[in-house]
Amino acid sequence: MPLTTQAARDFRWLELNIPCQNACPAKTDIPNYLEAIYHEDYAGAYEINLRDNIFPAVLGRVCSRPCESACRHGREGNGEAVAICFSKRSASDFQNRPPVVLPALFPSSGKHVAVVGAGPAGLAAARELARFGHRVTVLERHRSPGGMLNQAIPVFRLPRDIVEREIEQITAMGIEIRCGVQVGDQVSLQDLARQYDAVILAAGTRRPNMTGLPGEQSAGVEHSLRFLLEVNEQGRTEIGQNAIIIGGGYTAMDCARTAVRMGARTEVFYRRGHEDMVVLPGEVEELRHEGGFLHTHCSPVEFLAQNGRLTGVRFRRTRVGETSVRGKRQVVDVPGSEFDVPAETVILATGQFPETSWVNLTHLLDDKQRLVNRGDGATGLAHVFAAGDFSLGATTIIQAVAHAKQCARRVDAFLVKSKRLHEVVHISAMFQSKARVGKTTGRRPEMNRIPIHPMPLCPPPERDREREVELGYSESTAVEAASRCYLCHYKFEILDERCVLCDECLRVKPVAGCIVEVSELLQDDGGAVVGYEKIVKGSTPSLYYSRLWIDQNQCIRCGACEAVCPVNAIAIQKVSLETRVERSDRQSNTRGFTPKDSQNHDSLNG
Amino acid sequence: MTASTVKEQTFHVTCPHDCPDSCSMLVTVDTETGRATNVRGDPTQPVTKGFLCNKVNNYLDYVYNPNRILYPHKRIGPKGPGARFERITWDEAIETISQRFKSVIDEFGPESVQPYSFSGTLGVLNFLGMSERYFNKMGAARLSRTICTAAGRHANIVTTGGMSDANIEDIPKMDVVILWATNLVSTGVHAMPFIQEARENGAQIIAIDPRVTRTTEWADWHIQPRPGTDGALALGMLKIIVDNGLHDVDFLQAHTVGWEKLVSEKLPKYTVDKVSAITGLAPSDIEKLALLYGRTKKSFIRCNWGIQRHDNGGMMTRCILTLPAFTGAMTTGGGVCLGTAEAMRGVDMAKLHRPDLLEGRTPRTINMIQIGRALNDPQLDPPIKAFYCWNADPANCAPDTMSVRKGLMRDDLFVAGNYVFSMSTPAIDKVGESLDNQEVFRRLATAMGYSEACLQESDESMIRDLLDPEFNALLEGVTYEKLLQNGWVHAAVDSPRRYGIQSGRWKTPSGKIEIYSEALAAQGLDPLPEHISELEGLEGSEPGNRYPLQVISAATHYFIGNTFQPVERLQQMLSRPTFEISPQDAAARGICDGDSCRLFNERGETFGYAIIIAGMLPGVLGAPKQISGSKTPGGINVNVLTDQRLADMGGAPVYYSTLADIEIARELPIARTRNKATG
Repeated sequence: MPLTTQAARDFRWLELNIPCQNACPAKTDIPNYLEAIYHEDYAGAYEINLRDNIFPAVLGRVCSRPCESACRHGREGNGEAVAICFSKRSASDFQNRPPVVLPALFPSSGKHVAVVGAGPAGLAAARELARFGHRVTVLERHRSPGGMLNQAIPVFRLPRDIVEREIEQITAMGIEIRCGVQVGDQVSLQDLARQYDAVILAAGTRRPNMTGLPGEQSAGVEHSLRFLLEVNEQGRTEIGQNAIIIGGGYTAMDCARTAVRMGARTEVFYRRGHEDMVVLPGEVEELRHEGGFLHTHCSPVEFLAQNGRLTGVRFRRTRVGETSVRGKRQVVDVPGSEFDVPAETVILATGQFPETSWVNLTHLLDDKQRLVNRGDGATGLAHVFAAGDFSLGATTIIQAVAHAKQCARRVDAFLVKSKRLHEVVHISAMFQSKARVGKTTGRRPEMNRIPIHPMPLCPPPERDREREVELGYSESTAVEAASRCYLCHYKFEILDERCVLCDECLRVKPVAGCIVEVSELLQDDGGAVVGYEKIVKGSTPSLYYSRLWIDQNQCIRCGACEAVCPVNAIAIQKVSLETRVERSDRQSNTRGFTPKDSQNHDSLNG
Repeated sequence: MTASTVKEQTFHVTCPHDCPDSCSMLVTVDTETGRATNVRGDPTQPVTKGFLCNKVNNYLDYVYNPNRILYPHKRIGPKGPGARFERITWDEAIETISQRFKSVIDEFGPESVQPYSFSGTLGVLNFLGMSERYFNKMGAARLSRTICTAAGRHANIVTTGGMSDANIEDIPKMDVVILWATNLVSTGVHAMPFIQEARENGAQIIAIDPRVTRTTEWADWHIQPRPGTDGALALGMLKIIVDNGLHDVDFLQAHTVGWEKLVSEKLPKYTVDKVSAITGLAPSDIEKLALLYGRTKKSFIRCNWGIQRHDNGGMMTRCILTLPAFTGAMTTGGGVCLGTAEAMRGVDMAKLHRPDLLEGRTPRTINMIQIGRALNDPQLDPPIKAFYCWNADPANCAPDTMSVRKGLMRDDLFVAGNYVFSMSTPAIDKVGESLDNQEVFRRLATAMGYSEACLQESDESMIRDLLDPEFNALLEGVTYEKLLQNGWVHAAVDSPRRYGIQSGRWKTPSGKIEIYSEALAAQGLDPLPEHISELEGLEGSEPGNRYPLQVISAATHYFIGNTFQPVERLQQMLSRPTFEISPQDAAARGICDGDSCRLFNERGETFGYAIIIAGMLPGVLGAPKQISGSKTPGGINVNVLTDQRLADMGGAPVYYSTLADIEIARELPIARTRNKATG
């Protein structure tokens, strides 16, 4: 057994160790912007978001927050996840400056791209293309840009001046948006494909998913797409006395909370359990505060009608059945459990699909009229691409934006015949608290004990169709909320060649498995640590020397070990995913570094 | 929990274990249960710096270990493996021991009672305090306590007076730090922050050790001479230093005697080629080391105890001690830190041990490393009839353990002793009925009818008496009150009265560093530093003629001798004895990592598991010292291979001057498990 004292570097660091960033489809640099907020650099925090997810203020209100589910602070024993989404909003609330226009990364290319659809995906793709130096024209069938941001999400969740401002930041880059243009009607896709160097289809999902149940054609049965469009954009106020919403997702909540505000007695029926609902934390509770009801484990059987006019819905109760092969619990009908609920209006929040009837180019659709495209947006035609929900099916805003960014890169690579942006992992020089120029991550142990801050809300009696429910954090709360972030982009590593195995770090470790005694580290060919052999009495042979290893997946970056180390054997490095503009002749892999690079840093204490 | 709901008190305590660090510790005690809840390093103590070692960080698991013996016990039935014991009261224990002592003394005289102890605890009182008064009063046989540092200590006393160790707090100022035959990461970790600081300041850190240790890996440069040849290396360095005119003649003339004799009579022999042939080092490495060392006065050599456990341990230490005398390193705070702690433990032993209680008697002295011989010697008159053991584990740690065990098994020998554990101030409630050494000997004295007041003196009174700055200048400003309040007081290292560079006066007959020593000449030893080959060692051993591997049985990272071996977490790290072996030696014998092996020589055999260490000097085999028999297949550790012969100076042991061979063991003997006390 040779003594291994060369500190092994963990090259899978980002994937494993910044769980929030890794969970974000747009790979938003979350710890960096939370760190900026903590330092009251709201403009900097906003810009990180602007760069990575294009709609910071919008997403700071309505994002589905996959990051928070992944947050290490929310793991068992660690408390609750960091309020990442609310913090994003804080950055926008307190940045206090005119609209921000990002500079182009490359000079004008002379290429002209058409984007069909000015929803989140179309706008995101357009902005990215403009940064690449391409001319962009967006064609939008609706009278204004924004897509579902305006047409579906209620104003009380997303004030429209916020949407306008963030769209303005995009159009200010020289992007032309032509509204009221229906592709397939005023202009054919064929023509666009002929006239432009490339075309991106970002037309969203406009085809409702209907239930096919008896009575669905009755007046009073409507799909959420139409309902929300009419309320949000066309001034509809009528709904009747009793409204039933069918569904268990974000849209069901939007419909229900809108219906409540329109004066209806509103009940949501969902065929699965509360825990299966895909909604934001607290949304159901807010619905209840506002006077709505939720019934789970109820599946619609029939829409009841008299004279073609809806009178109610027949439901049947369901129960949880076996777990399917894919791990999803099946829903089983309970025979004889039918019951009727009277209603004048039923809103089906049951999903939607891309509408493709206007796509008149061959090679794009399959025989079921579905778009044929790859994950990155490439289609059967070299210069036609698809982005967002039109490519993916109904997803979330952040997924659509992320996909559109990737699609824009693909389009750029097609137009200039090379890949011009590269993701690289940047590893800072090592630093230590007790080095000559001492430096810490800025976190203090007491920050780990700060409980999550609830979002201040407009009191239910004061809520109306316009007034925003979530009021935003105060500035001091924003800073404190951001300070809860463990700052997982910092890596604490024991330098084996300095460690004297005194075990002091083991005394102060806050998580049982964050520092482990290992007999061996398992590394892959590139030097990445892929596991370790833990020391177990009886099965581990006697050791000449053990080694101490910080399990990055367990480490909460509290800094306690670094603070007590008597020989400064624990070093900190900041690891960031950076997008670099590189010349095409430079070779680079997607992760951008090799074992050699990682040892090429500034020396300690430098 | 808030402070108001927890009744806690923090005590200042000094780590009593056998280690040069002597850490100041803060012990948190739950005042309702009387149990310690936390032990940590005192952040204010300049050497402890608020951290403890991997052993003492497990102190509570040791103090409250379920296998700890909590009450006095008496053997019922025969001695040996599987012996049965039953619980008795302290009164019965003291009475039984005293009755046996009285009857043995009546029949054979007091010299037939043999005390045996060493450094299970290093507190001045509990190491050798009341126990010495008690045995002096009795007139019992003396014990020459040589098992650890004796050779180097003797060399240090004759060379520098023994009171002038360099201070590790000065290491950060150095340009060159040599860790000479010491594995400080494992056995003196509190030096490491200072050495780390020196490195950050630009110092070169050099480790000299034939083995590969965590310390050699930590150093900037690792030099691997053959074991037992370090004296030749030091003399070779001196020749190069002198040849290059790098020696400080002013310093030599002011502070040393005999340096010209060394230069004219000895150094000419130590040409780089000859030193290379002796040590096995490349000539270029010897030159590089000599020049690195010789070109600066800011040099610090930290030597520990390994080098002293050789046939020539005294002389090797003396050669190394001569190095800074030639460069004048002491003028910068450098020099050699030998860690024999002569200076720090320098209290008036007459006050402590009270030899006046002997009343003119001069009982015989037995060297502790030859206890096996003494116990089995039919000519010894009187024979050892009672053996009182504390703070020591001779059945595992004395050399030639077969002979020790044979002696201890004698049916006519009364063996008694105490398993002791105490903290230096009474911080915690007693665990079980454990007593500290001081109190056991007070009670024994009473039971023997000894009426002298000094045999009942309190710890506090003894400590106050010993804190005498007249006797040792390092004690200037050290008072009982300060120790009680703060837990530690810094020694007066800069006192102008201190022996060494501070006073310009060394505690030797000439008052100077004695490069030429009349004292050694009087003992029939070479009065000048010289390389002398080991009687049993790699150097000069002829292939095929003797056993080919030199066994270095050093301290492990996980235990302090016997201490801490019961701690579960540390056991996980070293759950079975290991034989560290070079890839070359392993390949020559078909040994693979983890193979069970037999290590043997003409004295015996022991069993363990091979660990192949890349970089280990071929011909050298490392084994953990003092693994208890119950954790060793066959029940007997590496000391079955070591000899009872004495080193060149100080009556010291020669643990590392041991040759052996290794082979794969097809079958392992079964480890004998220790019987827990019954009743």
